[in-house]
Amino acid sequence: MNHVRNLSTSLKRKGMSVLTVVLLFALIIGVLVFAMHSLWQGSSRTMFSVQEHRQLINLARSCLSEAFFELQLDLDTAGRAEVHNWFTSGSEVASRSIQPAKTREFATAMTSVPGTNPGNLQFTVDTIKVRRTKGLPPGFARYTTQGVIDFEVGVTVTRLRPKHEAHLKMIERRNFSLLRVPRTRYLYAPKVVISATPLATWIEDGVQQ
Amino acid sequence: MMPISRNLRRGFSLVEIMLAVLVLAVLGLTIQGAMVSTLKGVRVDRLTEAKRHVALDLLEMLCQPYSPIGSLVAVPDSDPSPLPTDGLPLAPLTRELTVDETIQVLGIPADEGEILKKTLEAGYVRGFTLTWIRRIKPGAGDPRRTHRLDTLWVAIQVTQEHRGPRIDSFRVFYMPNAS
Repeated sequence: MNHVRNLSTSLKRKGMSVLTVVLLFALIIGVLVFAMHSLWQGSSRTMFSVQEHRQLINLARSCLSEAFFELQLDLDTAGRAEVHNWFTSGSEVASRSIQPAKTREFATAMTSVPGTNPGNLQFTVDTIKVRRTKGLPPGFARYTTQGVIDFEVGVTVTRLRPKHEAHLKMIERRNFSLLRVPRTRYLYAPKVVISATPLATWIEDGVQQ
Repeated sequence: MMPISRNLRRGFSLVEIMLAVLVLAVLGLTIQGAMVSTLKGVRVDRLTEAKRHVALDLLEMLCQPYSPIGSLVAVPDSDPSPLPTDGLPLAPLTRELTVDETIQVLGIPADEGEILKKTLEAGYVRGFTLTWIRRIKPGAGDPRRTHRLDTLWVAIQVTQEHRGPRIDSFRVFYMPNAS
């Protein structure tokens, strides 16, 4: 009887020891593999955020191009004295708003093409703000001095599954000047022209969740 | 705990071997799954990054007031002039670039270009299609001096074997109306 009990105890002990060794080895391999997996997932997330960042920059640049175009269009269109006055007024002026209709339209189209939106991405574009940072001095000096305006836009990408959101703000500074454009042989009219090339661009870091 | 050498000397019971095989099989399958998804993920990430990098570089280079896009996308002689500022958007012009042409257009150094080409070809990318839509909005005033609003789409051309997301990108930009 004792012999059978000893044999049973011995078998159990042997079983437990082998199991422990197997588990130990498997655990070491598992830890190594999952460490590699976690590293990839971490770098994948970083890479995804880099890609998102680029697409957001792309959208923001589109918005700012459109804003420049719309504002210059307003200045070039007859009967928009209010816009002209906003640039040339000697007093403080409130910031203006521009809706980037074309960029919004294309951003929607971009995520609607079949096969292009696996992560259920949604791009949103805020209203563009235009601030007059530096006005023109009074008198004739205003024809030789340049003013400064800042365009500011915020763009956001939202992924629904898994939930993630990133935001980017871009500010572009351009100068503007007052030109004397001949209307008739002796008559000149002042015209505001915004520089087609930006002076500087700032990008504020996105908020990621 | 009993030393392994003693176990080896005495031999293993069938129950021990079955238990060990079962545990190893479960862990082995889990580890294999993780390895496969890791390797696949790394490959897809590298390809996605390469595609987007090229698409956005093309946009960055071609979407600006001094853009060389006119020399890249041929405008047919029969095409109406973009000069009138009261017109509708002109018909889109397209140009399909092979991977080699794209690398040349972007001026990527030869050694980097080779790696990029291999990455793209491994991901079944055939080339990039540029779609240029001129005058999505016309300017005002003197048509020779004003700007017009254009847009450029970059779509990735892939073969049927391609898996993973397609990445189309666009940019709205202004150009001198006379160009």
